[in-house]
Amino acid sequence: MTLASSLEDFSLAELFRMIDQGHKSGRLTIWVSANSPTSETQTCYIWFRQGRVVAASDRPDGQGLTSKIVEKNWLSQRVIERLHGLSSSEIPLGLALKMQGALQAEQLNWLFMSQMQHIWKLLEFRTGRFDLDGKASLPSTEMTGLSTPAMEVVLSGLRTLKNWHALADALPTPDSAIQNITPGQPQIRLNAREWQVWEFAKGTVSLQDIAIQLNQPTTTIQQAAFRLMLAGLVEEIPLVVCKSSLPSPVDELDMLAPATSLSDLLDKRKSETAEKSRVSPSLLQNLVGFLRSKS
Amino acid sequence: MEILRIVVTGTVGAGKTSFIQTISEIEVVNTDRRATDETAQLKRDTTVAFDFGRLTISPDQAMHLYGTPGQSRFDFMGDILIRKAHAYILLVNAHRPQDFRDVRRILNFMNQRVQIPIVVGLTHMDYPDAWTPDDIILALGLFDTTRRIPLVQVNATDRTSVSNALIALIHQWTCSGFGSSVRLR
Repeated sequence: MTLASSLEDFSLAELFRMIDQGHKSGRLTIWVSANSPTSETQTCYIWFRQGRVVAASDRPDGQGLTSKIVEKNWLSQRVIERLHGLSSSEIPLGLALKMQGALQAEQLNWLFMSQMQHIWKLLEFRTGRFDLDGKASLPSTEMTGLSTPAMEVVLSGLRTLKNWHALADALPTPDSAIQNITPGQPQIRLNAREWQVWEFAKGTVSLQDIAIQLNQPTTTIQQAAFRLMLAGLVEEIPLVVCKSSLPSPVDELDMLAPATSLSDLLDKRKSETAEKSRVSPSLLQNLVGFLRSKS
Repeated sequence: MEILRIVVTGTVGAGKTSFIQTISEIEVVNTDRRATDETAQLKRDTTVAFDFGRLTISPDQAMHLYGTPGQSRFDFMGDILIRKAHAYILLVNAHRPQDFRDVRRILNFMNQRVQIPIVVGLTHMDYPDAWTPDDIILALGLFDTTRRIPLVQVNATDRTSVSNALIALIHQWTCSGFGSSVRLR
Protein backbone atom coordinates (compact mmCIF):
# COMPACT_ATOMS: atom_id res chain seq x y z
CA MET A 1 0.00 0.00 0.00
CA THR A 2 1.51 3.31 -1.03
CA LEU A 3 0.76 6.82 0.06
CA ALA A 4 1.68 9.46 -2.48
CA SER A 5 1.23 13.18 -2.96
CA SER A 6 3.08 16.33 -3.86
CA LEU A 7 4.91 18.35 -1.25
CA GLU A 8 2.89 21.40 -2.27
CA ASP A 9 -0.28 19.59 -1.23
CA PHE A 10 0.97 17.83 1.89
CA SER A 11 4.11 18.88 3.66
CA LEU A 12 6.87 16.54 4.75
CA ALA A 13 6.38 17.69 8.34
CA GLU A 14 2.72 16.66 8.29
CA LEU A 15 3.63 13.38 6.63
CA PHE A 16 6.12 12.60 9.41
CA ARG A 17 3.38 13.25 11.97
CA MET A 18 1.16 10.74 10.13
CA ILE A 19 3.94 8.17 10.00
CA ASP A 20 4.67 8.58 13.69
CA GLN A 21 1.08 8.53 14.87
CA GLY A 22 0.15 5.71 12.50
CA HIS A 23 3.22 3.66 13.52
CA LYS A 24 3.93 3.18 9.85
CA SER A 25 6.76 1.14 8.38
CA GLY A 26 8.31 1.13 4.94
CA ARG A 27 10.37 3.27 2.59
CA LEU A 28 9.60 6.89 1.86
CA THR A 29 10.94 8.07 -1.48
CA ILE A 30 11.11 11.82 -1.99
CA TRP A 31 11.87 13.56 -5.24
CA VAL A 32 12.72 17.22 -4.73
CA SER A 33 14.04 20.01 -6.84
CA ALA A 34 15.11 23.50 -5.94
CA ASN A 35 12.40 26.05 -6.55
CA SER A 36 13.29 26.54 -10.18
CA PRO A 37 12.08 24.49 -13.14
CA THR A 38 15.56 23.99 -14.51
CA SER A 39 17.08 22.55 -11.37
CA GLU A 40 17.92 18.89 -11.18
CA THR A 41 15.70 16.52 -9.25
CA GLN A 42 17.21 14.82 -6.21
CA THR A 43 15.92 11.52 -4.89
CA CYS A 44 16.05 10.71 -1.20
CA TYR A 45 15.07 7.61 0.71
CA ILE A 46 13.96 7.37 4.33
CA TRP A 47 13.08 4.12 6.06
CA PHE A 48 10.69 3.73 8.98
CA ARG A 49 9.84 0.96 11.38
CA GLN A 50 6.72 1.34 13.50
CA GLY A 51 6.76 5.12 13.17
CA ARG A 52 10.50 5.47 13.91
CA VAL A 53 13.13 6.64 11.46
CA VAL A 54 15.76 3.93 11.07
CA ALA A 55 17.79 5.21 8.10
CA ALA A 56 18.04 7.87 5.41
CA SER A 57 20.12 8.00 2.26
CA ASP A 58 20.34 9.66 -1.12
CA ARG A 59 21.66 6.53 -2.79
CA PRO A 60 19.51 3.81 -4.32
CA ASP A 61 22.23 1.16 -4.10
CA GLY A 62 22.24 0.78 -0.31
CA GLN A 63 25.83 2.04 -0.05
CA GLY A 64 25.14 5.39 1.62
CA LEU A 65 26.21 4.36 5.10
CA THR A 66 29.30 2.52 3.86
CA SER A 67 30.40 5.53 1.83
CA LYS A 68 30.10 7.78 4.90
CA ILE A 69 32.23 5.44 7.00
CA VAL A 70 34.83 5.29 4.23
CA GLU A 71 34.77 9.08 3.80
CA LYS A 72 35.55 9.48 7.50
CA ASN A 73 38.46 7.04 7.08
CA TRP A 74 37.12 4.90 9.89
CA LEU A 75 37.12 1.66 7.87
CA SER A 76 37.74 0.61 4.28
CA GLN A 77 34.96 -0.70 2.10
CA ARG A 78 36.62 -4.14 2.00
CA VAL A 79 36.75 -4.36 5.79
CA ILE A 80 33.17 -3.19 6.13
CA GLU A 81 31.94 -5.84 3.69
CA ARG A 82 33.97 -8.57 5.38
CA LEU A 83 32.80 -7.68 8.89
CA HIS A 84 29.17 -7.31 7.83
CA GLY A 85 29.42 -10.67 6.11
CA LEU A 86 30.22 -12.27 9.46
CA SER A 87 26.86 -11.16 10.84
CA SER A 88 23.34 -12.06 9.86
CA SER A 89 22.25 -10.01 6.86
CA GLU A 90 19.28 -8.74 8.87
CA ILE A 91 21.46 -7.03 11.48
CA PRO A 92 21.95 -3.34 10.74
CA LEU A 93 25.40 -2.63 9.35
CA GLY A 94 26.23 -0.07 12.04
CA LEU A 95 25.26 -2.42 14.83
CA ALA A 96 27.19 -5.28 13.23
CA LEU A 97 30.34 -3.17 13.04
CA LYS A 98 29.92 -2.09 16.65
CA MET A 99 29.47 -5.71 17.77
CA GLN A 100 32.75 -6.54 15.98
CA GLY A 101 34.44 -3.67 17.82
CA ALA A 102 35.12 -1.85 14.56
CA LEU A 103 33.03 1.22 15.41
CA GLN A 104 32.26 2.97 18.69
CA ALA A 105 28.87 4.16 19.93
CA GLU A 106 29.87 7.79 19.33
CA GLN A 107 30.68 7.02 15.70
CA LEU A 108 27.29 5.36 15.22
CA ASN A 109 25.64 8.42 16.77
CA TRP A 110 27.52 10.67 14.34
CA LEU A 111 26.48 8.53 11.37
CA PHE A 112 22.84 8.49 12.45
CA MET A 113 22.86 12.24 13.09
CA SER A 114 24.29 12.74 9.62
CA GLN A 115 21.29 10.86 8.22
CA MET A 116 18.91 13.03 10.28
CA GLN A 117 20.55 16.18 8.96
CA HIS A 118 19.86 14.89 5.48
CA ILE A 119 16.15 14.72 6.40
CA TRP A 120 16.16 18.20 7.95
CA LYS A 121 17.42 19.70 4.68
CA LEU A 122 14.39 18.19 2.92
CA LEU A 123 12.03 20.27 5.06
CA GLU A 124 13.02 23.36 3.08
CA PHE A 125 11.81 21.99 -0.26
CA ARG A 126 8.45 23.23 -1.39
CA THR A 127 8.42 21.47 -4.74
CA GLY A 128 8.52 17.73 -5.08
CA ARG A 129 6.70 14.48 -4.61
CA PHE A 130 6.72 11.65 -2.11
CA ASP A 131 5.71 8.03 -2.10
CA LEU A 132 5.56 5.85 0.99
CA ASP A 133 5.82 2.16 0.17
CA GLY A 134 4.56 0.28 3.20
CA LYS A 135 5.73 -3.07 1.85
CA ALA A 136 9.35 -2.14 1.16
CA SER A 137 11.87 -4.05 3.24
CA LEU A 138 14.38 -2.30 5.49
CA PRO A 139 17.93 -2.08 4.13
CA SER A 140 20.34 -3.39 6.76
CA THR A 141 23.29 -1.83 4.88
CA GLU A 142 21.89 1.69 5.41
CA MET A 143 20.96 1.19 9.05
CA THR A 144 23.09 2.13 12.03
CA GLY A 145 20.90 0.21 14.45
CA LEU A 146 19.71 3.47 15.97
CA SER A 147 16.24 4.86 15.51
CA THR A 148 14.16 7.79 16.69
CA PRO A 149 10.45 8.65 16.47
CA ALA A 150 9.55 10.41 13.22
CA MET A 151 7.89 13.16 15.25
CA GLU A 152 11.09 13.94 17.15
CA VAL A 153 13.07 14.06 13.92
CA VAL A 154 10.77 16.61 12.38
CA LEU A 155 10.46 18.69 15.57
CA SER A 156 14.24 18.90 15.86
CA GLY A 157 14.47 19.91 12.22
CA LEU A 158 11.82 22.61 12.53
CA ARG A 159 13.46 24.13 15.61
CA THR A 160 16.52 24.99 13.52
CA LEU A 161 14.78 25.57 10.20
CA LYS A 162 15.73 28.94 8.71
CA ASN A 163 13.56 28.97 5.60
CA TRP A 164 9.89 28.26 6.37
CA HIS A 165 8.72 29.06 2.85
CA ALA A 166 7.79 25.43 2.14
CA LEU A 167 5.55 25.31 5.20
CA ALA A 168 3.84 28.67 4.80
CA ASP A 169 0.46 27.10 3.94
CA ALA A 170 0.66 24.54 6.73
CA LEU A 171 1.11 27.06 9.54
CA PRO A 172 -1.90 27.93 11.68
CA THR A 173 -3.38 31.24 10.60
CA PRO A 174 -2.62 34.35 12.70
CA ASP A 175 -6.31 34.82 13.58
CA SER A 176 -6.66 31.25 14.88
CA ALA A 177 -6.20 30.16 18.47
CA ILE A 178 -4.72 26.90 19.73
CA GLN A 179 -6.37 24.49 22.14
CA ASN A 180 -4.59 22.05 24.43
CA ILE A 181 -5.76 18.50 23.64
CA THR A 182 -3.72 16.51 26.13
CA PRO A 183 -4.35 16.12 29.85
CA GLY A 184 -1.76 17.66 32.15
CA GLN A 185 1.67 18.92 31.20
CA PRO A 186 3.37 17.95 27.92
CA GLN A 187 5.45 14.80 28.25
CA ILE A 188 7.87 15.71 25.48
CA ARG A 189 10.71 18.18 25.75
CA LEU A 190 9.72 21.66 24.60
CA ASN A 191 11.92 24.68 24.09
CA ALA A 192 11.29 27.96 25.88
CA ARG A 193 9.27 29.52 23.04
CA GLU A 194 7.05 26.44 22.72
CA TRP A 195 6.36 26.51 26.46
CA GLN A 196 5.39 30.16 26.26
CA VAL A 197 2.97 29.52 23.43
CA TRP A 198 1.60 26.36 25.04
CA GLU A 199 0.57 28.44 28.06
CA PHE A 200 -1.92 30.20 25.77
CA ALA A 201 -3.42 26.98 24.42
CA LYS A 202 -6.93 27.58 25.73
CA GLY A 203 -8.68 28.14 22.42
CA THR A 204 -9.47 31.78 23.07
CA VAL A 205 -6.48 33.96 22.19
CA SER A 206 -5.44 34.38 18.57
CA LEU A 207 -1.86 33.73 17.58
CA GLN A 208 -1.41 37.35 16.57
CA ASP A 209 -2.53 38.44 20.04
CA ILE A 210 -0.16 35.93 21.62
CA ALA A 211 2.59 37.48 19.51
CA ILE A 212 1.74 40.92 20.85
CA GLN A 213 1.70 39.70 24.44
CA LEU A 214 5.02 37.91 24.04
CA ASN A 215 6.48 40.76 22.01
CA GLN A 216 7.45 38.42 19.19
CA PRO A 217 6.83 38.38 15.44
CA THR A 218 3.58 36.60 14.58
CA THR A 219 5.42 34.16 12.32
CA THR A 220 7.58 33.06 15.25
CA ILE A 221 4.44 32.27 17.24
CA GLN A 222 2.84 30.51 14.26
CA GLN A 223 5.93 28.34 13.88
CA ALA A 224 5.98 27.41 17.56
CA ALA A 225 2.25 26.66 17.45
CA PHE A 226 2.79 24.48 14.38
CA ARG A 227 5.42 22.45 16.23
CA LEU A 228 3.02 21.99 19.13
CA MET A 229 0.39 20.82 16.65
CA LEU A 230 2.79 18.33 15.09
CA ALA A 231 3.67 17.04 18.55
CA GLY A 232 -0.01 16.28 19.11
CA LEU A 233 -0.25 18.73 22.02
CA VAL A 234 -2.63 21.29 20.56
CA GLU A 235 -5.08 21.77 17.73
CA GLU A 236 -5.69 24.92 15.74
CA ILE A 237 -9.05 26.48 16.57
CA PRO A 238 -10.38 29.00 14.04
CA LEU A 239 -11.97 31.97 15.74
CA VAL A 240 -15.15 33.42 14.33
CA VAL A 241 -14.20 36.52 12.38
CA CYS A 242 -17.22 38.58 13.40
CA LYS A 243 -20.35 38.37 15.45
CA SER A 244 -23.81 39.40 14.37
CA SER A 245 -27.02 40.10 16.18
CA LEU A 246 -29.00 39.74 12.96
CA PRO A 247 -31.88 37.26 12.98
CA SER A 248 -30.63 33.76 12.39
CA PRO A 249 -31.00 32.70 8.75
CA VAL A 250 -31.73 29.21 10.03
CA ASP A 251 -34.81 30.51 11.79
CA GLU A 252 -35.93 32.26 8.64
CA LEU A 253 -35.61 29.14 6.51
CA ASP A 254 -37.20 26.90 9.11
CA MET A 255 -40.22 29.15 8.92
CA LEU A 256 -40.22 29.39 5.16
CA ALA A 257 -40.00 25.69 4.55
CA PRO A 258 -43.44 24.54 5.73
CA ALA A 259 -45.26 27.90 5.64
CA THR A 260 -47.80 28.76 3.02
CA SER A 261 -48.75 32.33 3.97
CA LEU A 262 -47.58 35.35 5.92
CA SER A 263 -49.85 34.47 8.83
CA ASP A 264 -48.30 31.02 8.91
CA LEU A 265 -44.89 32.66 9.12
CA LEU A 266 -45.88 34.89 12.02
CA ASP A 267 -47.56 32.06 13.91
CA LYS A 268 -44.53 29.96 13.28
CA ARG A 269 -42.19 32.61 14.67
CA LYS A 270 -44.24 32.81 17.87
CA SER A 271 -44.38 29.08 18.35
CA GLU A 272 -40.66 28.72 17.65
CA THR A 273 -39.87 31.30 20.29
CA ALA A 274 -42.15 29.69 22.81
CA GLU A 275 -41.04 26.15 22.20
CA LYS A 276 -37.47 24.95 21.97
CA SER A 277 -36.98 22.41 19.23
CA ARG A 278 -36.59 18.83 20.33
CA VAL A 279 -35.95 15.65 18.40
CA SER A 280 -37.93 12.64 19.47
CA PRO A 281 -36.97 8.99 18.97
CA SER A 282 -39.94 8.63 16.65
CA LEU A 283 -38.52 11.27 14.29
CA LEU A 284 -35.24 9.40 14.05
CA GLN A 285 -36.97 6.06 13.56
CA ASN A 286 -39.32 7.51 10.98
CA LEU A 287 -36.46 9.17 9.15
CA VAL A 288 -34.44 5.97 8.93
CA GLY A 289 -37.51 4.10 7.66
CA PHE A 290 -38.20 6.89 5.19
CA LEU A 291 -34.65 6.96 3.86
CA ARG A 292 -34.56 3.18 3.47
CA SER A 293 -37.86 3.15 1.62
CA LYS A 294 -36.87 5.93 -0.77
CA SER A 295 -33.33 4.84 -1.54
CA MET B 1 -43.62 20.78 13.40
CA GLU B 2 -40.71 18.77 14.71
CA ILE B 3 -37.57 19.57 12.75
CA LEU B 4 -34.27 17.73 12.65
CA ARG B 5 -31.51 20.09 11.55
CA ILE B 6 -28.48 18.57 9.85
CA VAL B 7 -25.49 20.66 8.80
CA VAL B 8 -23.47 19.47 5.81
CA THR B 9 -20.00 20.94 5.97
CA GLY B 10 -16.63 20.45 4.30
CA THR B 11 -14.12 22.13 2.03
CA VAL B 12 -14.81 23.69 -1.37
CA GLY B 13 -15.69 21.02 -3.93
CA ALA B 14 -16.25 18.24 -1.40
CA GLY B 15 -19.85 17.78 -2.57
CA LYS B 16 -21.95 19.65 0.01
CA THR B 17 -24.34 21.25 -2.45
CA SER B 18 -24.69 18.01 -4.44
CA PHE B 19 -25.36 16.07 -1.25
CA ILE B 20 -28.27 18.34 -0.33
CA GLN B 21 -29.60 18.53 -3.88
CA THR B 22 -29.62 14.75 -4.12
CA ILE B 23 -31.80 14.15 -1.07
CA SER B 24 -33.92 17.29 -0.84
CA GLU B 25 -37.57 17.09 -1.87
CA ILE B 26 -37.64 20.78 -2.71
CA GLU B 27 -35.47 22.66 -5.09
CA VAL B 28 -32.52 23.60 -2.99
CA VAL B 29 -32.54 27.17 -1.78
CA ASN B 30 -29.20 27.92 -3.23
CA THR B 31 -27.40 31.17 -2.70
CA ASP B 32 -24.46 30.28 -4.90
CA ARG B 33 -22.66 33.23 -6.40
CA ARG B 34 -19.87 33.28 -8.92
CA ALA B 35 -16.59 32.92 -7.10
CA THR B 36 -14.10 35.61 -7.95
CA ASP B 37 -10.92 34.39 -6.30
CA GLU B 38 -8.72 31.33 -6.64
CA THR B 39 -11.65 29.20 -5.55
CA ALA B 40 -13.13 29.82 -8.98
CA GLN B 41 -10.39 27.71 -10.51
CA LEU B 42 -11.58 24.74 -8.51
CA LYS B 43 -15.30 25.23 -8.66
CA ARG B 44 -17.18 27.54 -11.00
CA ASP B 45 -19.83 28.39 -8.41
CA THR B 46 -19.16 28.17 -4.75
CA THR B 47 -21.46 28.68 -1.81
CA VAL B 48 -21.01 32.12 -0.32
CA ALA B 49 -24.04 31.94 1.96
CA PHE B 50 -25.51 28.48 2.46
CA ASP B 51 -27.68 25.85 0.84
CA PHE B 52 -30.96 24.70 2.24
CA GLY B 53 -32.87 21.49 1.54
CA ARG B 54 -35.81 19.76 3.13
CA LEU B 55 -37.24 16.28 3.50
CA THR B 56 -40.72 15.85 4.92
CA ILE B 57 -40.96 12.66 6.92
CA SER B 58 -44.54 12.96 8.13
CA PRO B 59 -47.14 15.73 8.40
CA ASP B 60 -45.48 16.98 11.56
CA GLN B 61 -41.88 15.85 11.13
CA ALA B 62 -39.17 17.06 8.75
CA MET B 63 -35.44 17.08 8.24
CA HIS B 64 -33.72 20.29 7.20
CA LEU B 65 -30.29 20.25 5.62
CA TYR B 66 -27.94 23.22 5.67
CA GLY B 67 -24.79 23.39 3.59
CA THR B 68 -22.14 25.62 5.12
CA PRO B 69 -20.44 28.33 3.11
CA GLY B 70 -17.62 27.02 1.00
CA GLN B 71 -15.32 30.00 1.31
CA SER B 72 -15.86 31.68 4.67
CA ARG B 73 -16.43 28.72 6.89
CA PHE B 74 -15.58 30.41 10.13
CA ASP B 75 -17.73 33.51 9.96
CA PHE B 76 -20.82 34.21 12.02
CA MET B 77 -23.06 32.48 9.46
CA GLY B 78 -21.29 29.17 9.90
CA ASP B 79 -21.29 29.70 13.65
CA ILE B 80 -25.06 30.15 13.70
CA LEU B 81 -25.64 27.13 11.50
CA ILE B 82 -23.55 24.91 13.74
CA ARG B 83 -25.10 26.08 16.99
CA LYS B 84 -28.57 25.37 15.65
CA ALA B 85 -27.69 21.92 14.32
CA HIS B 86 -28.64 18.61 15.88
CA ALA B 87 -25.94 16.73 13.98
CA TYR B 88 -23.57 17.23 11.08
CA ILE B 89 -21.85 15.51 8.23
CA LEU B 90 -18.33 16.55 7.31
CA LEU B 91 -17.56 15.82 3.66
CA VAL B 92 -13.92 15.23 2.76
CA ASN B 93 -12.64 15.07 -0.79
CA ALA B 94 -10.40 12.01 -0.56
CA HIS B 95 -8.16 12.90 -3.48
CA ARG B 96 -7.31 16.42 -2.33
CA PRO B 97 -4.77 16.06 0.49
CA GLN B 98 -4.18 19.81 0.28
CA ASP B 99 -7.64 20.21 1.85
CA PHE B 100 -7.03 17.92 4.81
CA ARG B 101 -5.62 20.61 7.08
CA ASP B 102 -8.68 22.79 6.34
CA VAL B 103 -10.92 19.82 7.19
CA ARG B 104 -9.03 19.48 10.44
CA ARG B 105 -9.69 23.15 11.18
CA ILE B 106 -13.39 22.70 10.48
CA LEU B 107 -13.50 19.72 12.84
CA ASN B 108 -11.80 21.70 15.58
CA PHE B 109 -14.10 24.64 14.98
CA MET B 110 -17.11 22.35 15.33
CA ASN B 111 -15.81 20.47 18.33
CA GLN B 112 -15.17 23.65 20.23
CA ARG B 113 -18.73 24.86 19.73
CA VAL B 114 -20.95 21.83 19.85
CA GLN B 115 -20.91 18.25 21.04
CA ILE B 116 -23.33 16.70 18.60
CA PRO B 117 -23.27 13.53 16.49
CA ILE B 118 -21.01 13.61 13.44
CA VAL B 119 -19.94 11.34 10.64
CA VAL B 120 -17.18 12.02 8.14
CA GLY B 121 -18.24 11.34 4.55
CA LEU B 122 -15.42 10.53 2.14
CA THR B 123 -16.18 11.67 -1.38
CA HIS B 124 -14.30 11.14 -4.66
CA MET B 125 -13.01 7.79 -3.42
CA ASP B 126 -13.15 6.47 -6.98
CA TYR B 127 -10.26 8.70 -8.03
CA PRO B 128 -7.01 6.79 -8.57
CA ASP B 129 -5.05 9.10 -6.31
CA ALA B 130 -7.61 9.08 -3.49
CA TRP B 131 -6.11 8.41 -0.08
CA THR B 132 -7.29 5.38 1.86
CA PRO B 133 -9.70 5.87 4.78
CA ASP B 134 -6.96 4.80 7.22
CA ASP B 135 -4.57 7.45 5.93
CA ILE B 136 -7.28 10.12 5.96
CA ILE B 137 -8.03 9.25 9.58
CA LEU B 138 -4.38 9.88 10.36
CA ALA B 139 -4.22 13.09 8.34
CA LEU B 140 -7.27 14.44 10.15
CA GLY B 141 -5.90 13.51 13.57
CA LEU B 142 -8.72 11.07 14.27
CA PHE B 143 -6.52 8.09 15.10
CA ASP B 144 -6.97 8.63 18.83
CA THR B 145 -9.85 6.54 20.16
CA THR B 146 -11.13 9.57 22.06
CA ARG B 147 -11.48 11.45 18.79
CA ARG B 148 -12.57 8.55 16.60
CA ILE B 149 -15.43 9.51 14.30
CA PRO B 150 -17.31 7.12 11.99
CA LEU B 151 -16.27 7.33 8.35
CA VAL B 152 -18.59 6.52 5.45
CA GLN B 153 -17.92 6.62 1.74
CA VAL B 154 -20.34 8.91 -0.04
CA ASN B 155 -21.27 9.54 -3.62
CA ALA B 156 -22.93 12.92 -3.19
CA THR B 157 -24.90 12.55 -6.43
CA ASP B 158 -26.34 9.13 -5.60
CA ARG B 159 -29.54 9.07 -3.55
CA THR B 160 -28.88 5.67 -1.97
CA SER B 161 -25.38 6.69 -0.98
CA VAL B 162 -26.58 9.97 0.56
CA SER B 163 -29.38 8.14 2.37
CA ASN B 164 -26.89 5.65 3.77
CA ALA B 165 -24.70 8.49 5.04
CA LEU B 166 -27.67 10.04 6.82
CA ILE B 167 -28.64 6.65 8.28
CA ALA B 168 -25.06 6.28 9.53
CA LEU B 169 -25.36 9.68 11.18
CA ILE B 170 -28.55 8.68 12.96
CA HIS B 171 -26.95 5.40 13.96
CA GLN B 172 -24.05 7.40 15.40
CA TRP B 173 -26.59 9.52 17.21
CA THR B 174 -28.27 6.59 18.93
CA CYS B 175 -24.94 4.87 19.67
CA SER B 176 -23.30 7.95 21.12
CA GLY B 177 -26.01 8.35 23.73
CA PHE B 178 -27.31 11.71 22.66
CA GLY B 179 -30.55 10.46 24.05
CA SER B 180 -34.10 10.23 23.04
CA SER B 181 -34.72 13.91 23.41
CA VAL B 182 -32.17 16.40 22.17
CA ARG B 183 -32.48 20.00 23.19
CA LEU B 184 -31.17 22.73 20.96
CA ARG B 185 -28.62 25.09 22.29
